[in-house]
Amino acid sequence: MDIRIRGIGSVSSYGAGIEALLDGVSAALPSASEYWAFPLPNAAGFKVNQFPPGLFGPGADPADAAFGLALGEALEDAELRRADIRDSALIVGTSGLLSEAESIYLAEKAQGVAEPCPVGVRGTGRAASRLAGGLGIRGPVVTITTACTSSANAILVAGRMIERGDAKRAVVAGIETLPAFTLNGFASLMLRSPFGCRPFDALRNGVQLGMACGVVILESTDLPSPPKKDALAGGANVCDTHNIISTNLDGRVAAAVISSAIGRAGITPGDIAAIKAHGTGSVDNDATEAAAMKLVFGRDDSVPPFTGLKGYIGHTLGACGAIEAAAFLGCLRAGLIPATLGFGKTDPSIGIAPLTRPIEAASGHYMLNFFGFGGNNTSLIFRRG
Amino acid sequence: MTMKRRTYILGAAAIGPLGDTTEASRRTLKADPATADLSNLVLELTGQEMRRAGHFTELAIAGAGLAVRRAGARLDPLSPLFFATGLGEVHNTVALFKQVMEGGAGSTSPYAFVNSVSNTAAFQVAKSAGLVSPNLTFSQEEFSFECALRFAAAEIEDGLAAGALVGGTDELSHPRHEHIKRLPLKEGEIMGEGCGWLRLGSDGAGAIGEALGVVELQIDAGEEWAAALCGAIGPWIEEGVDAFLMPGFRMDGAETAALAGRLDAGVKDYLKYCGCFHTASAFGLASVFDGPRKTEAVYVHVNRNAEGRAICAGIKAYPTPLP
Repeated sequence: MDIRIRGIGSVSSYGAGIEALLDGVSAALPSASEYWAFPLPNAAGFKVNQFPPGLFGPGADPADAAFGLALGEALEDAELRRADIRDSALIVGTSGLLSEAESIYLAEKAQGVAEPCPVGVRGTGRAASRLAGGLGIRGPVVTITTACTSSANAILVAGRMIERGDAKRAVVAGIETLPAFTLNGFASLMLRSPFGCRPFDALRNGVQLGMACGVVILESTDLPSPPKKDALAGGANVCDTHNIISTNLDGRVAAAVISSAIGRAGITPGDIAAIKAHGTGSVDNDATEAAAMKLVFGRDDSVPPFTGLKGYIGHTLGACGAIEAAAFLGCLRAGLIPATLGFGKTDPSIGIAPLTRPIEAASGHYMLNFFGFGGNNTSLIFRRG
Repeated sequence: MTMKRRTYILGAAAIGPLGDTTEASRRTLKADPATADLSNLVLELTGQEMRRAGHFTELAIAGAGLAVRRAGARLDPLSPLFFATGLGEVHNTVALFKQVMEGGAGSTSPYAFVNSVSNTAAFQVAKSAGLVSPNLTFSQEEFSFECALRFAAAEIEDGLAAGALVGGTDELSHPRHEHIKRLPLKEGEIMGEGCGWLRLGSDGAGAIGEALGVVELQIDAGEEWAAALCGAIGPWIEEGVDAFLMPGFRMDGAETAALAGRLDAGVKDYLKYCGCFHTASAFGLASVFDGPRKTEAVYVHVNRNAEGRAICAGIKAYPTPLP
């Protein structure tokens, strides 16, 4: 697979733009704050990575507004106009966008509707249809909804569509607006950490949730383009049916998806320069991911340098594929692989540690891992240079 | 250029709101149905009670299980699974949503949350079918199943998989006035639910049919649309082979009749058995294989969405041994 990455854009808890995100990452600046959107029981003290207040206009739908900002940045980065994406595919990855339903519910309640319709109209795919309509997109419109791997899979699907010639160019968006419903759900699973995200750390105890929108514009290398250094070289998805909410700690299926992605990219494990780990900070996820990396790369000291981004922007669930891809590509362009914010102490049961200081990024192949609910595991391979 | 491989249909199953699973057991719906009790069927297929799974997941598991069983041969555990749904799990999600939004949610059930997660049904299908393979859930309103079918067929055409399982599932939710806010329906259109599953493969031995393709159009009405649709469908229709148009629930009777006339095709109204739901096309296309047939026939499902697009999916059904 050789798919050009033409442009990237992001809206995160650091605000709009890759540059704002890189400033935060370079300064190792936490960006989580107490959840303000909805009163939730047992929420006091829990921090999440939210869009900064006032980022969008009053009354704006956060999903649409964040997408608009991230797409604008990605187009500028790609040196494309809106008219240039009319024939593109639009592939959205999201875990569900129930915040839209929450807004409808609250508005109906405020109007005195006795029994507001509790779940919004037309399902998860509605946002993509609406956004495509607004942009005049004439290409295929697809929504992938596989929980935390949604937009990583959207990148994979976009790559396949371009590879097959079903589309010449694809706009991939990962959107997560973090509804109260989801925060409550993670609380019910006892997966939210009161101490924030500590990827691979001995004291890690849960996830720090976040909202974000990442946009990645992919295209066929047949299309004319200004010089671009980044490409999607391969990827794979495998569902581990061990347990719906927890990974198989032996790491075998996670290792299989990593190996499959490497194979699809036509490289060997030794060609991987560094890894952007999924690194949620949950006890089982990080143990499984470490086990998988050790299985694929052979020995502890053979595992390439790896880092995690969730200490900076939180676990943005369905958006994490696109936002972390955009953020990591932004870091590579800036010449660095960032340190792992939140990591402090090596877990002896894991035996390997993520980067504690930024290192220089060179040309080569980079792996990005994403693991989600429903045993959904995805690895992407990017090539730089 | 590499020749693309054919995508054969090896097994199929459709389940409607009355729990019916074969042509012989189908009854025409006269009014909005209640949801079917599938617990015995799921128990028979999986050997276990799915006590924590919702009705939506049961529908998906039962349909996939029947499609796999009817194909006969063992399903390769590496076969990718492509699942489609328009609204996803509604019952559990609505109940949990109300709990959270109306305050004082306190400790909600973790199982309710897990069941509401978008890819739970696809996980459970993979688990019950013994798959360790790619697993994607597509949700694109009226086009959800067609999206999944297009990607499933692409994996086989390109030689990336020797087999695949593709299906669509949606559940209805009463009361009607709430349901039609989620899925706008016209007066007289019956709320529906159900599933349809196709087991696909690259080896034609024992095949009951083949997938012909999925074509999406950026126009959804008028002469230009009809001409484009006929242009897309035309190559699927062969001289001497019966052809049937299967109108989706966003098509009206007059345009269906006009289109069928132009294509010299019959009309198969499957919606009277399953009602209207986003992935009804999955039910329709899978139900083609419910009974034995003497001759081969082409079936083309056509539908549109609210954004001015149309989509058609074609399959061919092979003759099968008569009982």
